[in-house]
Amino acid sequence: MATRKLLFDIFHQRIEALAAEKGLSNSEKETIIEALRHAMANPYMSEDQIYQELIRRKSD
Amino acid sequence: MRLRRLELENIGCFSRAAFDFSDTATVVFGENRTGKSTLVYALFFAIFGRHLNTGLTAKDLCTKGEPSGGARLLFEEGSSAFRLCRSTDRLPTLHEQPSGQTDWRPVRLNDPEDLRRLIPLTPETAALTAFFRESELIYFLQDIPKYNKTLLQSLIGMDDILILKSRFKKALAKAREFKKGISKVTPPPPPDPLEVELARRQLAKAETSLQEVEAEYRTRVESTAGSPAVTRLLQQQYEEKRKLLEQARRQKERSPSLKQLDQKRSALQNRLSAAEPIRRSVETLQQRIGSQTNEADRIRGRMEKLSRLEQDSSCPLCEQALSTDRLSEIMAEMAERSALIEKDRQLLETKLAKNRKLERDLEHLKTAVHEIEDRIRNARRLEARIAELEAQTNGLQSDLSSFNIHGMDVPENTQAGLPSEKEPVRLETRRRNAQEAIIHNTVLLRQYEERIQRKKENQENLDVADRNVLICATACQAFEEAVQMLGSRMLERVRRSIEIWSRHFTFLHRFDIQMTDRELLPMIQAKGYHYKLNQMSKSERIFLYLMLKLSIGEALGHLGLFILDDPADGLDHKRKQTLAYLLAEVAKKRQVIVTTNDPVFADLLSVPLRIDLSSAVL
Repeated sequence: MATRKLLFDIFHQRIEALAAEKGLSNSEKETIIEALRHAMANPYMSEDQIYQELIRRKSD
Repeated sequence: MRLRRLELENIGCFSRAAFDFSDTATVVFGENRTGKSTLVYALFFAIFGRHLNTGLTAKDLCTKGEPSGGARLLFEEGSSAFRLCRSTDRLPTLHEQPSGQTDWRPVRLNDPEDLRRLIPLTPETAALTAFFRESELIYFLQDIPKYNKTLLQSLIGMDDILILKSRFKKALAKAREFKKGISKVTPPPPPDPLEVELARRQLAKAETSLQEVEAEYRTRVESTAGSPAVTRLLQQQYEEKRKLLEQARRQKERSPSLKQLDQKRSALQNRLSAAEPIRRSVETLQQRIGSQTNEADRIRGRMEKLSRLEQDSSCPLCEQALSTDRLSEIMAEMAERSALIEKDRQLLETKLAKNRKLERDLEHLKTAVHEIEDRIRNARRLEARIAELEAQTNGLQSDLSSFNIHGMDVPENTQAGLPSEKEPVRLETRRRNAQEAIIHNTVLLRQYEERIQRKKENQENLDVADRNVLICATACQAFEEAVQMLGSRMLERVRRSIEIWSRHFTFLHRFDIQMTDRELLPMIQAKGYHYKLNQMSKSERIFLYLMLKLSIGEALGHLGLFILDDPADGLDHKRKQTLAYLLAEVAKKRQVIVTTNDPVFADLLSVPLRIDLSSAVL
């Protein structure tokens, strides 16, 4: 849907800006974007699952 | 999405009908109650499987009296053609015909996302941006947002987005809670480096001290190894053991040998086993005497009865007279038998007395066997003791030999070469102290290491929790900002579209049309003074609504369609011309399908395809 795509694009832009501001690594940035992608694709995803997605560690 | 053909079965007034559509614009002309609105509803049903009117269900589309109805829609998307079949009582089916092929291939529709790839719009949004009904104008006049939400919010699916936002917030709360939990776990304070260094030094000192004590011990043992005092001590022990050994040997000589004792025990045991039948015969004799006594008692009882009969001289049962001669004869027989039994019994008792005497002798034999067994055990113990003493004296003898002074006469009170009595005590105390210091300082150092390790782990966990909070907070903040920006971006898109489309609505120029940020409702103002929507003329409202539909459609999506149900109703000729011009402009961008019952308006729309509903049969 147009709105969802727009929301995702805006989120992506905001994450880029905030990651630079707060000193997040590339992998952490990617993790957040992936978490939102999964959360938007799966409307039944709970806060626990979102939390687990967000704190998942990736090697840079 | 380009619509090609719609086939209907048992939908409204169409028992069976088919409609082909032009790429650009199609006019559906028909008198009242010929199915124009039904066709628009059927198109919505064919695309979304729902009724365009939210108050009705798909079942309401069925022809009266028919249990179900169906619609088959042929459309193109990208380079492929698709055939979407919907029924009011069955699940939809989809077939694809890839470009350049003639076969229709079934497409799986297990997931709602499968169809959403082809129809990327919700029915609610499509109803607003791709469909027009004259009846909508009634709702358009209402300026109160539904369920306290703006139209834009409900159109962009803000509910789902807000739910997602709250989940991200909760995830952040979870990260903070986790961090709080870790912060509460207070590790013991790390040790003072000076304390650690002190413990290390004390440990090293104690180890050195212990090594020194051990070395001193070794030196002292080596220096006292051949001393007369040690030799004397050894010799004393040797003499003591030797004396004990001799005593034991003398004791052994005095007592009979093990072999003799064994022989004696065997002889006694043989005698015991030979006497076993005597014990059994005693039992038999006792039984026999018992039975003889019983028999004698029985005969005595019978004789008493016979003597009573002799006195009565008649039978107690039949009362006949008894012969006294016969009774006397029987009595004599019984007396004789009783005498014989008595004689036997006396013989047996004599024999029993003899056997009992033998039995007592056997008991004495048994006691003797036990005594011999005790002596055998003692003899064996003595032999073991002798062997032990022999080993000890041999060991001491060998020690004395190793000192090479075996047989040497050592003076009784010699103390030369031996350490003083206080010296071993001092060494032992030093050794014990050193060992205790080593243990104490090792434990202390281990505790310090554990404290340092726990502090380090706690710090690592805190760092991870901090990072997690930062990540969750960033995600949450980015999402909140994105949601806020989404509304304004969407509104901006709508505003831009209004600017573009308002060029075609020149007669609305006297209104200052603005979209407020608060809600997607137009603020209609005349230049200089306020206007209300219901103060506008019907034609103005229709055009304003059309313009907003087109503008919102540009922002939210419109499937490339614009389907209008009798939009010219109530317009004068001039406005019909304007509307026809406007739809021709729209047809340049989207596929337009217009229904009308106005032949003049139908003629004004110079479209490539015109459907007359009276001829639309399969």
